[in-house]
Amino acid sequence: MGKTVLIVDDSSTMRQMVAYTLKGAGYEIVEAGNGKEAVSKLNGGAKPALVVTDLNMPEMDGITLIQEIRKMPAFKFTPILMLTTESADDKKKAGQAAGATGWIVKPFNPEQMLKVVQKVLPT
Amino acid sequence: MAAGTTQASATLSAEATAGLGLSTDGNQFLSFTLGEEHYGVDILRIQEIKGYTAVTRIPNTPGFIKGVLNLRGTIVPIVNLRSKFGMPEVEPTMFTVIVVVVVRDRIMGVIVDAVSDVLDIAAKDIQPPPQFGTNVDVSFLSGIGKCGDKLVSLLNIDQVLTADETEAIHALDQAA
Amino acid sequence: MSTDLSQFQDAFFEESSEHLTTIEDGLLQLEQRPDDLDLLNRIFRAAHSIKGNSGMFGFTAVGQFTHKMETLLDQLRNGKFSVTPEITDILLRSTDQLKILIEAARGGAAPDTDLLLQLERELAAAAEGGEAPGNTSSTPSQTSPAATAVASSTPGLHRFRITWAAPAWLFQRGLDPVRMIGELEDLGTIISRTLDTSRFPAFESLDPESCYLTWTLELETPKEQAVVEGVFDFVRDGGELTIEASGPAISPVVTDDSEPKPLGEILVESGVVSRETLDKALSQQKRLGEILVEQHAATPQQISQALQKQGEAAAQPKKTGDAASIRVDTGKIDKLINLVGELVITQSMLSSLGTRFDMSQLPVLVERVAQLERNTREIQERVMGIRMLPIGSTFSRFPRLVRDLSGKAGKKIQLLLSGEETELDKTVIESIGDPLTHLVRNSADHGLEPPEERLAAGKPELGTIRMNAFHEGGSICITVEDDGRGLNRDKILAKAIKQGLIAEGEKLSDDQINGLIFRPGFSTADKITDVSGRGVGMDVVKKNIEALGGTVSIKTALGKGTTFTLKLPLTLAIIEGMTVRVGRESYIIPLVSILESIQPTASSVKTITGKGEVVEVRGSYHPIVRLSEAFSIEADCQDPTKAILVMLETEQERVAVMVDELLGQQQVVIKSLEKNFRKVEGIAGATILGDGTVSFILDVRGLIELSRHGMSVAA
Repeated sequence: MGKTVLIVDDSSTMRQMVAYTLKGAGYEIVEAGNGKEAVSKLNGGAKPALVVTDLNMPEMDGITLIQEIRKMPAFKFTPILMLTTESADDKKKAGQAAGATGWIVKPFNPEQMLKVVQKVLPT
Repeated sequence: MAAGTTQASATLSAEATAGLGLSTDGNQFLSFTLGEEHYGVDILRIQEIKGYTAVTRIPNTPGFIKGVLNLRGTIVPIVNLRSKFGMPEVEPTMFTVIVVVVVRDRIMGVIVDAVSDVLDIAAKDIQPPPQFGTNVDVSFLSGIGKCGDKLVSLLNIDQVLTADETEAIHALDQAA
Repeated sequence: MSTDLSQFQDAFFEESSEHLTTIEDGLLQLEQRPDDLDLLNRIFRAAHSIKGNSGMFGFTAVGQFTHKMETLLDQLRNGKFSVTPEITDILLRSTDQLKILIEAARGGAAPDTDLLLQLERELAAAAEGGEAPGNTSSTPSQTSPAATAVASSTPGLHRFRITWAAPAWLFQRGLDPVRMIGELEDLGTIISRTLDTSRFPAFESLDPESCYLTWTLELETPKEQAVVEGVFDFVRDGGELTIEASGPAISPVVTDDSEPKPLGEILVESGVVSRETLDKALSQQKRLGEILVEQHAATPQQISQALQKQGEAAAQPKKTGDAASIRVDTGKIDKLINLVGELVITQSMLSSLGTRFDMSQLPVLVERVAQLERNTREIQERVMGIRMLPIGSTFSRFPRLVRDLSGKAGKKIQLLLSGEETELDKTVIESIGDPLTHLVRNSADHGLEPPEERLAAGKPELGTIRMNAFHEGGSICITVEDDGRGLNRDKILAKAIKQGLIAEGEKLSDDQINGLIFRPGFSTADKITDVSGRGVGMDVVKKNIEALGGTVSIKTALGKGTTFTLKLPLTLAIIEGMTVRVGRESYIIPLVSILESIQPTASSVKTITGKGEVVEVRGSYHPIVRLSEAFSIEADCQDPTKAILVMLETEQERVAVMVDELLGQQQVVIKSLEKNFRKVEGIAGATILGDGTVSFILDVRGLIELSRHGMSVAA
C-alpha cells in the first residue's frame, strides 16, 4: 500500500485535483474540508505521511492547522506542504514559522506537484 | 505561423475526402422480405433483430406507426414497413420479426415478414434505383443490388423512417 | 500516468457558481453589517478559491480579474478602509462581470472588455491608498531571478561546492537532511562530502529535536546553479548556505529538442526571404480542395461535403464538455451504500432459500420477498433523493434582484425568505428561476405601491415581498407574496374587454378574472418600465410552470396584497397515476390533476349546440372529453351514465374525461416518448407497466386542446 497523504482544502475541486494527481502516483488519500476537520481526522486515527493544506479556509485556517499538527506528538516531524497562490513571501514565512515544511504554488501542474511531494517525502 | 496553419488544414481536408470515399464501401446488407420482394438495409445501421411481440398503439399517429415497444427500458417506436410502402397488412406469422435500427440517433423498429440473410454485394453490382416500376417511393431506395439471380432493393433507411415524421415534428415545434 | 487535470473543469464551474453566490449574498449582507469581519473573510475566501482554481485550468482572464477583486477585499478585511455603499456597489458589479467571465471560459458569450477594463480601474482606484495593487498576475513566474540569470549560459557539466549549515529547526518542520542530500545525488554525482559536527553543544544543553550538522559537498551536475539552489528552497530562511561554482563547465552538450519549424520560418530567420515575401507567397498558396477540383480529382460538391464533415468533426468534442453533473451530499451516498448492503443481504438470503426450497418454507419466502420490496422501494426513494437539491440556491439570487429593483422603482422593499432548505428535483430547480424572477419583478413593479401611496393608505413605507417554499402532500409549493395593492378586478376586466380577451357583459368568477392575467399579451401596467412590461408576460410564467407539470394560482385582496402559489411535482421522473381503461387500451392519468370520478345521472349530461357535451357538477357545467373519440378507440360504453367521468383540473379549467373503467392507482416512472419518436398530442409521456408493456400518460392540457381542436374542425 502506498503512503497516505492528508489533503486539506475548502475547495472540493482543488481537493479532487490534488487527490487525482497523488493517487496516480500511488498515494492513498484522506481529505478534509478545513483545519478543524483535518484535526479531527488526525485525532480519529488517520496516519498520513504527508499533509497538503490550503491556507485560506473557514473554521480553522491553514496556519492554525499547521500549529495544531506540530503540537501532536505523532505528527511532530510529519512533512506539511502549504498550497498557496501567494507569490509574496509573507504567507510562506508565516507558514514556515508555524512549522510548515514547504509550499506548492498554485497554479501547478501534476508534475510540479509530484516533484515537490517527492522532495519532502522519501519514496 | 501562417505556413503551419495552412498545412494543417490541407491535411485535414485530405483526410476528410478520404473518409468520404470510405462510406460507399460498406457493402454488407441485411436482407429481408415483404411479400415476394427482397429488401436490404446497410448492416451497420442494425442494432438487433427481435421476434415479433404485441406493441402499444400510439393514438393520433399515421397508420404505418404500429406503436411502441419496451426495449430494455427504452420506449421504441415500431413502423410497419408494409403499410409504409402501401402494401396490404398481414397477420404476424412465426417468421415476422422486428428489425431494430438506429436512425439519426433515434432507435426505431421496423416490422418485416422475415429476415433472410446477410448479403455481400460488391459496389459494381449495385445500380442506381429505377425511376419507376416499383411499389416503393424511389426516394426510399439507395440502389438495386444484384445477388445471384435475386434483385434486392437497398433501402435508404434514414429516408424511410423520417420522411413524414420529421415534417410532423417541425409542425409541432412551430405550434409550441 | 495521465496528468490531465482538465477533467475537473466541470467541478470547477460548479464550485465557482457556489462561490459566486457566496460573494453576492455576502456583499448584500455586508451592506447591512459593514463591520462583520467573518462575512468579509467568507467573501474573500470565495474570491480567493476562484482565483486559485481558475489558474489551474489556464483561465487567466478569470484569475486576473478575481485578483483585482481579491486585492480590494483583502484591504477591507485588513481594515485598511471601511466598507462603503460605493465599494459594495463596485464589488457587486464586478461579481456580475466575473460571472460572465467564467461563463465565457465555459464557452459562453465573450465578455464586454471595455466594461471589464472600466471595472478593473474602479477596483484599483478603490484599493488605492492602501498598498498599491501588486502587479502579480494570476500565473506567477515559477522561476526565481537566479534561474533566469544563469539560464542563458551554455549547458554542460558544472561543479559546485556546497556548504550548508542546517538550521536548528530542520526536523521540527518535517524536513529530512538525508532526503535533501538524496535529491542532490539525483542531480548528478557527489564527488566528495564531509560532515562537520562542531556545532554540537555540550551534552547537557543538547536538544534532541534540533539539528546541529554542517555538510560540505562537491557536486558535479549538468544542471544550472538555480536547480541546485532549488533543493534548498524550503530552508532558505535559516541556517547558512553557500553554493559556488568550483570548476569550469566541461564538455558542453548541444541539445536542441525544439519543434521543427515550418520551412517559411526558417527561410525568414536565415534571411533568404523577407517576412513580407513569405506572407505574400503563403496567401497565394491554394487549399487542397481547390487543387483537387482544378485537377478534376473531385467535384466541388464532394469537397464541400468533406469540409462539412471536417467542420462537424471539429465541432464534436465541444459537446461532451456539456455533460450535466450534480453535487451530492456524501451523507446521502453513505445511506445509499448501506441500503445496497441490505439489498445484497436480502438477495443472498433469497438465493440460499431457493437452493433448498420446499413448500414448508413458503411463509419465509413471502417474508423475504416483502423485505426485498421494502429495500427496493427505499433505494428508489433515496436514488430519487440524489436529484433533490435545496431551493436555497435559487432563492439566493433574489436579495440582489430586489435590491436593484427597489433602487430602480424608487420603492422601499424588504425581501423575506423562508423554506430555503426545502428540496426539489434538480431539473425543477433549474427551470423555476426565471418564472420566480418574473413573479418577484411583478410584485416589486406592479404589486407594491410607491412609498407615498403606502403611507396614504396607512401602510408602513417599507413594502414586503415574502418568498416561501414548503412541502404539501406530494408536491412542493413556492409562494411569492406581497403586501401591495392587490389585483384590481375592475381594471383587469376593463383591460381584458379592451384587448378582446372576453366579451363585454360576460359573467366571470373571481378566479376566472384573476386567471386573465395569465393570458398571452395581457398587462395592466399603465406604463412600460425597465423592470417589467418587456413583453415577457405572466403567460410565460404559467407556460413554464405547466411544462414542469405544475400549476400557478393567485390569491389577492384589494389593498392588502397578492400571493402567487406555484405547485410543483416533487420529482419529474416518477408520478402517482390512475390507470384507466377505454376499450382494450389503458392510459395513466396523473393523480395531481384528478379532482374526482363520477358516474353522472342522465339529467346532468347535456348537449350544447356547437359546444358539445357538458356535465353538471354541483351547479357548474364542464365539457366532456370522450377519450375514445380523442384517441379513436372503440369504447365499451357510449352512454356517459354507464361510463366513468374523471374530473380533471388544469390551470383553473375543468374537464370531464370519459373512460370505461378505473383500474387502480400506482406509481409510474415517466419515460420519454420524444427521445426515439416525437411529441404526440394528448400524451405527456410513456411508462412501462409491471408486465413489461408500454402505457401512455395523459397530458391533460393537451387533451383539452385536442378536444377543442377536434370540435372546431367538426363545426
